[in-house]
Amino acid sequence: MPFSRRSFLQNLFAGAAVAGQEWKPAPTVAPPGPRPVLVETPDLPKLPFTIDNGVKVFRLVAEPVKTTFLPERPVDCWGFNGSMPGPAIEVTQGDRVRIIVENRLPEIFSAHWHGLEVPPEVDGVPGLGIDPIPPGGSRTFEFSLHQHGTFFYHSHMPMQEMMGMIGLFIVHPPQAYEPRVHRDFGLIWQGWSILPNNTVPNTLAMEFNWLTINGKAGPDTTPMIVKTGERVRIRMVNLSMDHHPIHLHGNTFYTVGTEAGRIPQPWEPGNTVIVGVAQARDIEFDAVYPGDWMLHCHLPHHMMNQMGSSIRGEVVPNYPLGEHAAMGHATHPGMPPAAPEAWAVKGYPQDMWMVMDDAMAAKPENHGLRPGWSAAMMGMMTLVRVVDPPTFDRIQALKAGQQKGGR
Amino acid sequence: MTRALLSMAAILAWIVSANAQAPAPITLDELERLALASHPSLAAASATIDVARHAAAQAGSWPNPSVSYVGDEIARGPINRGGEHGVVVDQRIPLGGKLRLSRRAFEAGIGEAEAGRDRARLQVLAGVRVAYHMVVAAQLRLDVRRNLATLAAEAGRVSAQLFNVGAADRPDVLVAEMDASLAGLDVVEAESALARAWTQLAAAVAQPRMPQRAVAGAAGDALPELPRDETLAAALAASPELAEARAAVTRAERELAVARKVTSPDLLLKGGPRYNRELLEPDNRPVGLEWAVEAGLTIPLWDRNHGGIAASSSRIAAARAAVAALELKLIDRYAALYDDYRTARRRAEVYRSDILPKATEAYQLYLARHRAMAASYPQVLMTERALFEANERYLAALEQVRTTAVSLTALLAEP
Ligand SMILES: [Cu+2]
Repeated sequence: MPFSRRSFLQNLFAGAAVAGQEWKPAPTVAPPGPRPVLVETPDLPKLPFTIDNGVKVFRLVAEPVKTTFLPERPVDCWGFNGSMPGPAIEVTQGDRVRIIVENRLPEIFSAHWHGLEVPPEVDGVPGLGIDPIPPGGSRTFEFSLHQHGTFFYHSHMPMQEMMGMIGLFIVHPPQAYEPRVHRDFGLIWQGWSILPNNTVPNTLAMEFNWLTINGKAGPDTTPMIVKTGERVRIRMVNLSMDHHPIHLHGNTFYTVGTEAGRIPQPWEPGNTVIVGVAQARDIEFDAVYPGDWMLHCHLPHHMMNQMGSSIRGEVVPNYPLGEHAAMGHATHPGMPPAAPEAWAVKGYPQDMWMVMDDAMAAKPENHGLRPGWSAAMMGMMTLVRVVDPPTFDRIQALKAGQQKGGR
Repeated sequence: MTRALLSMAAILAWIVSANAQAPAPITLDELERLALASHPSLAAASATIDVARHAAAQAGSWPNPSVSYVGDEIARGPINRGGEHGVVVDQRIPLGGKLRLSRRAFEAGIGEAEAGRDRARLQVLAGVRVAYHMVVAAQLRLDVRRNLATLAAEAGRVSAQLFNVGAADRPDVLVAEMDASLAGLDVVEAESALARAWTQLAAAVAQPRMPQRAVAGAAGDALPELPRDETLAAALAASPELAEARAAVTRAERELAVARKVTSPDLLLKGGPRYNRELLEPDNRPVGLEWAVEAGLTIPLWDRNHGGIAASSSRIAAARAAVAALELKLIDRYAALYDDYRTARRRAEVYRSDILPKATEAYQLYLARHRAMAASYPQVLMTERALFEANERYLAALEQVRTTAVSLTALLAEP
């Protein structure tokens, strides 16, 4: 039986009344009940299902998707059911699933269930185990799930993967993992190469100027909202051309799971975990420190959006140089200006601070952030916001109001 | 290398076959025959020879005699009573071979006119040959430009396709489309150039309204081989302009001989019958028929034609100097032309033996790799474009080799 988001949130509010205001590491008590909490996927929908004779039936549509990485950055990519990445499939160990895959792409397509131990004829490798699905065609995949963990589905055409054809496939254990978490988040990390006057990713390129989490680049990534003292799990899947060292500010976490499921204890502590290509890493921590904590890839070039252009094989910066330098680089509103003789210093400038408008990324989850926050958020960056209960409630209320008013 | 040459031959064959599609290409021989049959310069030159021939014939004619009535000792009284009445025939007889010398002087004019006809013939033929090579080059250039335009249009479509997969940016597409438009304009320009070259060829063969058609000729034809000194020597030896100038010297020399004899003595004969009515004693009969004869010589006493002789001598000097000046002018023109010819020939050779085979091989390698999915189509297009552009430069060099070779062998001070 599926959980609805509403009942999940109500459940959450009921169990989250213990957070203190004072600065003091103090995890709250785990939520009651054996059932795992549902995964939250910021900026991504869940794939709905129906039940047919005990089988969970999903309809997955492979199709071109128009999206935006930033509010004014339209992108033509490929995904599922109007979403890129595709909507998350969330089921429970022991479930039998039937996934009806429809191909609305202009070319052949095949869906692969990454990490799931399923028979070869439903593994989705075109040519090897199965014929590809022709354009306009569809195929039904049915299998039972005996594993649990963070899995994903993707096209088994590599360039289609790079066009965005991936989605989370979360399999919960029947009973929640110990220690229990209050919040369970799922994030997909991707890299893109898109020319400045084009909207289509170049899937053959080896240099990436757009880096996204769940299909959004900072500052348009939606923060994960956590109440002080809650235990948090973040599941991270990487389907790009780089291995990403993911770093969490201000907290120590434990890596508790891989793409194959739960890691047996004892877990090693850390604050940066490399999520390799096609890997999943689940991290958990007790959110005992209030604050807006950055979670980001630590590759320097992944902390920017389109920071350079390749001109005749040479990468040159996109920030103002030459006669246009006076237009903006040396001074940022609200930031100290550069030193008067800055250009006399070899290496200047290195600051790629971009003037952003907080309002551009306005959304309930950003309520209460420090003015100018958006300038710090570029590329593969998002936030874990550990907030007090009133702020949490205010954000929830804003979200509810927004849902009512329509976004 | 052999393979590269074969490939180049294929490209050339392709250029030729593009030509051969037009019906019945006209050959250089046919064009030359047309020009020789009907060019007005040649008709004018023939008429000039006739003028000289007739003038020479006239020059040997004897001076005409004069006949006059003479009356003498006519007194008052009846006309039948006294007085002499007769006819005098007056004939000047040129001595010292004046008539022969004059005829020889005019005959030199015939030689001069014949050299003039040879010059006109060479001018006409050189004009036809140069115009022919220009038409051939214009035809080949049009083929190359058309292929380039096709290629540019294809590059535009490929850019749009690359844009669709994010591998090209919008400005790239705009530049490719611009390129295709420019290539289209280049075709229009090449068509006009061909039409213009054809008009010049039609004028050169004196068929100004000859409808445009294909001309036989290929880029791959052998390059003319002209050794510098031998070609110059042959051209000078065969130069109708020099022959004409030398004929002018001959004419001047003969005119001097004439001038020297102008005042030499001529025999002046005069005489005729007369009737003398004077009555003779004793029988009172008229004297009757009697003859008068007078012979004399002109004496070159005051006029020995000093001025005329000196003028003729100067004319000879001028004509001889003109021969030398013309030879210098021809040598100078040859030097400049030969420089162009040698440079163009070197260029054509390098394109033929080195650049075109490499450009062809690069294109074919990328094409083969592209077919094996190991090279992008823009790489194929770029090498194909480089090949066509090399071909166009090769054609320019060929055109220059062939037109300068015509001008070197048909060496003319006034082409
Ligand atoms: Cu990264």
